[in-house]
Amino acid sequence: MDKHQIIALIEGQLAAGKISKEDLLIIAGIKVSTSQNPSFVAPENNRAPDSQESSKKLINTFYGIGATIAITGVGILIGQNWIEIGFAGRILSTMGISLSAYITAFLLSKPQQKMLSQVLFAISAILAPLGSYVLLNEGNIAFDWSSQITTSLLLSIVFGTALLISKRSVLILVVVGFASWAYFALVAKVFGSAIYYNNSLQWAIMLLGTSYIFISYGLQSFLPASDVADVGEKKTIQNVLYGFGTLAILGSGIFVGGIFDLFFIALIFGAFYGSVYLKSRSMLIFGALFLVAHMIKLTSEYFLDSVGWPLALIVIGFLVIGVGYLTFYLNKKFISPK
Amino acid sequence: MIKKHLPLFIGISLPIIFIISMSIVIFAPSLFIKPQFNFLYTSTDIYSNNQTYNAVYEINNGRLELETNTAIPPLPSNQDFTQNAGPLYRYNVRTNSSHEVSFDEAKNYAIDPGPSSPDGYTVKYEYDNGGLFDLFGGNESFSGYFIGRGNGKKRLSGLKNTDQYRYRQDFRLIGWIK
Repeated sequence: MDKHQIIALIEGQLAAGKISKEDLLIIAGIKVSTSQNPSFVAPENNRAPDSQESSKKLINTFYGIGATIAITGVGILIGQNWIEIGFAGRILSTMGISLSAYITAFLLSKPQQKMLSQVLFAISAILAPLGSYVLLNEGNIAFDWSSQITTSLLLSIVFGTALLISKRSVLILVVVGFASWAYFALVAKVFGSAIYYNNSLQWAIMLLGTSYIFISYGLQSFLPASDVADVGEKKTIQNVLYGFGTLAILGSGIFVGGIFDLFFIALIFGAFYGSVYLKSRSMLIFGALFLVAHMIKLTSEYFLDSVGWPLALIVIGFLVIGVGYLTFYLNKKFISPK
Repeated sequence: MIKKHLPLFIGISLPIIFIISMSIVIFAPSLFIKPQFNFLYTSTDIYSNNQTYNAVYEINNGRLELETNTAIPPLPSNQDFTQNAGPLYRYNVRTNSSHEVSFDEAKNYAIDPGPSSPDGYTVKYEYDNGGLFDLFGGNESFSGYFIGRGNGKKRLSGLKNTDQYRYRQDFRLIGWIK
C-alpha cells in the first residue's frame, strides 16, 4: 500500500464518519485525548501562557460578579417597587432585559466574546421566567401547572434553538433546567396528589436523574468541543449533569425503602463504577456519601436491636474510614488526571 | 442519526415516555366512565351560620318527600328559618350540566336513594391540592366532586354552589333518577 492508497483509505474512513479529524490529530501528536471519547481533545502544543490564563479567569470572575449584581438589582427593583413601576416598568426590567441580553448574546459571536455571550445568555435565562410570570400576572392568568408547562416548554424551545445555533455551553444547563421544570410541572399535573403514593415522586426524580446521565454522556457526540477552553467548559457541564443525575437517583432512591434497600446497594456501586468509567469525580463523591448514609440507615433499621448502639457505631466508623479510602483510591487511580 | 446519538436520544426520551405512560395509566380508565342515570341533588343557598332549613328531602318508596328537619337543635334567639328546604337540581350526566327543578316536578321521579347508582357509579368529594411544590405557584386546585366506578372517575363540573368559596357539605346527593 503506497502513500496515495493510505491517504485515500483515511479519506474514505473520514467521509464514512468512522474516524474524526480529532483522531488524526491525536495520532499526529498535535492533540492529546483528555477523556475516553476522542471528541473531547485538547491541543497540547497550544496552551496559553499562565499570565493570559489568569487574566482570562479574572475577566470571567468579573463577568460572573457583574451578572449576579445585575440580577440581584432587578430582583430588588421589582420586589420593592412592584406597584410604583407599573406594568411597563415590570415587563421592561424583566422580559425587556432578558430579551436584550438574549439578542446581544447571539450577536457576540466572536471566539474572544464567548464568555461574555454566555454570561448574557445566563442573565436572559434567569430573568425569562420572571418576565413570563409578570406577563401572565398582568393578563390575569394564574401561574398554575398548565401555565408553567407552557412557559417552561416555550423557554426550552427558545433557549434550545439558541444552543443549536450558538453552541454556547452554558445553554446546555439552561435547556436542561427549563426541560426539568416542564417535566416536574407535567408530573404534578398528571399525578396530582397521587404523586405522594407508591413512591411516585421518588421514581419520577430517579428517572430524571438517569436521563441527566444519559444526556451528559450523549453530549460528547452531539456537541463536540471546538477549542481548548470549550473542552474544559463541556467537561465541567458534563460533571455538573453527572453530579445532579447521581444526586437525583441516590437522593430519591434512599427514601424508597423496603426491598429496594437491597437494590439501592447495587445502585451505589453502580455510581462507583460509573464514576471510573465516565471519569466523574462528582459521581464518585455522591456515591461515597450515599454509601455512608445507607450504611447508617441499614444499621439503625435492621441491626441496632441485635448489636446495640456502641458496637454499631464502631462498625459504622470503620466502614466510613474504608469508604473514605476507597474514594481516595478510585479518584487517584482512575479519575484525577495524571 | 438516532444510532449515532443514542445516549442523548435515550436521555431525552425517558422522561417523555414516563409522562405518556403515566398519563395513559391514570387517565385511560376515565375514558370508560359513561354513567347512564341522572341524579337529583340539593345545594344550600344559605351563607349565614344563623340560618337553617326547617325541612329536609327524603326518599320513601322510591319517591321524593319533604320531611320536617328533626335534627335542628333548639334555635338561638338570633337564628331563623329561611325556607322549607334548599333548591333542587337535576344533574345530567351526559351533558355535565345542572338544572333547577321544582319539588312538584321532582316528586314524580322514580328515585333510587343509592348511594350508588343502579349501574354502580358513586359520587364523592376528593381533596387534592395539586400535590407538588405549592410554594412555586402550583396551587391549582384539583379538588371537587367526581363520579366514578373502579379506578375511573370524571369531574362533575356542572354542579351548582360547590365552588371554592363554599363548604363542600353544601352538596347533598338525594338519589338517582331511574
